[in-house]
Amino acid sequence: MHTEDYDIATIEQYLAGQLEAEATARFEAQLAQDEALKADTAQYRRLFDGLGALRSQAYRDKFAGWEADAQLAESAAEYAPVLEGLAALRSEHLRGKMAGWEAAHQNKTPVEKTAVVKTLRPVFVRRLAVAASILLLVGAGLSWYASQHYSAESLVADYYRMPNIGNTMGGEQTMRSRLESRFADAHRLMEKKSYSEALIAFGEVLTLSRAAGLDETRMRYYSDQVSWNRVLILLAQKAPEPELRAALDQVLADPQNEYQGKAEALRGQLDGFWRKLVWYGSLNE
Amino acid sequence: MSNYKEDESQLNLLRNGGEAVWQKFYDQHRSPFRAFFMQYGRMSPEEAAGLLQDAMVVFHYNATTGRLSVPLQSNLKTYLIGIGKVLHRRKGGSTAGWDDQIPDEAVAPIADRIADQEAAAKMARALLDRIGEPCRSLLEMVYIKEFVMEAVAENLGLPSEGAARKRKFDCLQKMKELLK
Repeated sequence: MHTEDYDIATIEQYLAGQLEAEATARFEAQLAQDEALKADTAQYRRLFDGLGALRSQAYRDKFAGWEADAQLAESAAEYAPVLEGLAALRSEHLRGKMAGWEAAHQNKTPVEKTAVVKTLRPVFVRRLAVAASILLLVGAGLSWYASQHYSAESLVADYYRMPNIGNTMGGEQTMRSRLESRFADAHRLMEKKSYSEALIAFGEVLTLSRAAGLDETRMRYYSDQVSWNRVLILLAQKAPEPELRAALDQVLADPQNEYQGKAEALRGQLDGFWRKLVWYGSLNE
Repeated sequence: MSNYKEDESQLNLLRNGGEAVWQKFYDQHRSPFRAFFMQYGRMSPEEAAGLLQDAMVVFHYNATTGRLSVPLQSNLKTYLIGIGKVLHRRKGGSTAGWDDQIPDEAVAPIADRIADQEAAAKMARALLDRIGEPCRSLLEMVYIKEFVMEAVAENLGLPSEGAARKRKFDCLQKMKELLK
């Protein structure tokens, strides 16, 4: 006879090869004498094999994720020259615009040169005026460029991506389905730029994800989504700088966070010249 | 004296290690596996990647259930490619004329094990479908999602890790009864 609870733990350890040599010998001696234990062990072997097979199948998603990571890393290297080229084109575009502004300015200057006042003004004053005009035009151009590319709205539009949220309509209202549904709501609100409501929805997503019995990978997915979208929401809402920085630092401090790279890029842009220009511009509005 | 000491150490790590160890193994074998099947099987990179994932599922099962054990008869790369070869044949692909680094003798037992694994998974899924809640969720958390017992207790609202462990044994016993 054997006590079932005790034996299941021992059988499990025995089948997993986790018993010490002495305990293994003792268990095998018991097996040789106890037909019921022998039969139980055989049945548990089938059960653990079956559960192990399901666990291996569950790993398929993880393998697919690692494959996607590997392909992305390869693509990033492939696309690096293209991205650099686009960045160069953007700069060239600005150069072209400035050349146009300069040409427009130059076309006006001959008129001034033929004016009667020419002789009345010292040369250095005229040159100063020309330089000031150029500076004003360049300043206006830079300000326009900065507001086009580095305003809160532009940065959020650049960094926000709607994930594949699938079809969340109908079905049994389990904790997990509520989570998926609320997650989809949160992103729809992001798309509609209803940032306050989206912030609330993402808060609920975090709560639901902790209660839904998710595996580590899925937990991480939702947690990363919430922390990153919170940064974008605070940016879009023009939240006070310390609040935005605190949210951004939270993403930056977590090396496992899927969005850490984007957070670093965003921090670079927030600290950069263009963003400061937008800020100065906003002071003058 | 084994010829595959390093591979045996790696197998031991995989058997006892977590996801990070498996990811490292995946990354390590991704390129040679894909290169092999793209060269010999004339597969596209995407097809070879799909086959690798199928082979990894089989490899994971064999490694974690002790079906692949020391002393190893080949290195792990050869074994993994052997699994890929069997899976390729099962899908109707031919391996004739391959300049073969993977001998057929090494491949033969793998084919049986793949069939065993599929049958075992089918049986376990059917039993989980029949066992009902909360046993189904508990067993899935413990054996498939690899939750620690503390997390199982928290998710199921049980007072302690010990209570979760006791419930696990009750559920296993119930599952065994269904097996009869």
